[in-house]
Amino acid sequence: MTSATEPVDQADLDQEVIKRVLNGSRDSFELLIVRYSDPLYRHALGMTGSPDVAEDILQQSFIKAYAHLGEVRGRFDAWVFRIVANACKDWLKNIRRSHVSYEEDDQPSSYSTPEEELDRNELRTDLEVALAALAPALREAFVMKHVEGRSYEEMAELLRTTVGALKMRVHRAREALQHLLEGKYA
Amino acid sequence: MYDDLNAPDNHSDADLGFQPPRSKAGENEDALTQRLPDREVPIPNSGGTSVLHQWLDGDVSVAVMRATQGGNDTVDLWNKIHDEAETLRSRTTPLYVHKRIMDSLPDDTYRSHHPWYKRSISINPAVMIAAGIVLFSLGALIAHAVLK
Repeated sequence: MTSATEPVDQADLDQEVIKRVLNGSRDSFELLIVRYSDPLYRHALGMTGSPDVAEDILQQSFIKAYAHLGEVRGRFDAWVFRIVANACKDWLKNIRRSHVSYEEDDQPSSYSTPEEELDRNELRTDLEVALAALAPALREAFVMKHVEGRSYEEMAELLRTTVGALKMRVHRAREALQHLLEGKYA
Repeated sequence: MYDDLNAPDNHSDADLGFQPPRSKAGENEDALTQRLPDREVPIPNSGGTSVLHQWLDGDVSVAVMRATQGGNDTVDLWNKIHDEAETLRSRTTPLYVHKRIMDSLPDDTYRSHHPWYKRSISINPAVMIAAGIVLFSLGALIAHAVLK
């Protein structure tokens, strides 16, 4: 979530903000929300496929982070990422969805023709269905690698696991998606 | 009762769900794979699948991937998936969500625990100048009163 050139500075800034919040400056917490909400929202969206659910998870996660801010050890962005990631996996484990997702999508269309948009919507739905068939840990690894574009090393740091274990999950997720989608698209 | 928010990924690796289809040759390796204690040991792959991972991890070029059996179709499929991922990557948090989160934060979580005299103050040049002026004025007043 922090770029390679400024992880130390960003972490120091975060610590400064956290100190202010713990000293009673509630409004300072908004700095952390603005700074980190986009990558966290994208993760939740990739994991759940639903903008509404992603917003709810983001909100609950930041409330939880605020309530436990004094427990932050190390980087805030990694800590809050784990809160969101665990909330997403819990949601996936607990919810049985009857249909998919992105249906509340209000983003403007970028496709040149209605046919092109229809094709992309079909792929989007099929991809979401295929992702929903994956175990949460596999979906998480795939989303972090291919949607968020993270390196294995960054993923390992955020999830506190090993690069080898994550490569395994990503490989399994790819093979599952390939198997589920190749009949129609390849 | 609180969750341990500093705990590592609290979701077990034990149930990874979907098992990709394996070749008949691979079936004989199932027992061996199950005995392996470390899940990081890669599962044996067919050649095409192995090249797929190498290509998607940036270790080989697309030309190598296309040269495998069914490689062109696989490349086309993954290009479509990547296009879709790119769309998702451009998404940003709706602005109203920031306000919604701030509005839902409790007002007094930290304020009540830290009275004003225990809070840290941040020192910046403006604060230092103001403090200097106050101290100088105070000193001048005292000196004036003493010398009078």
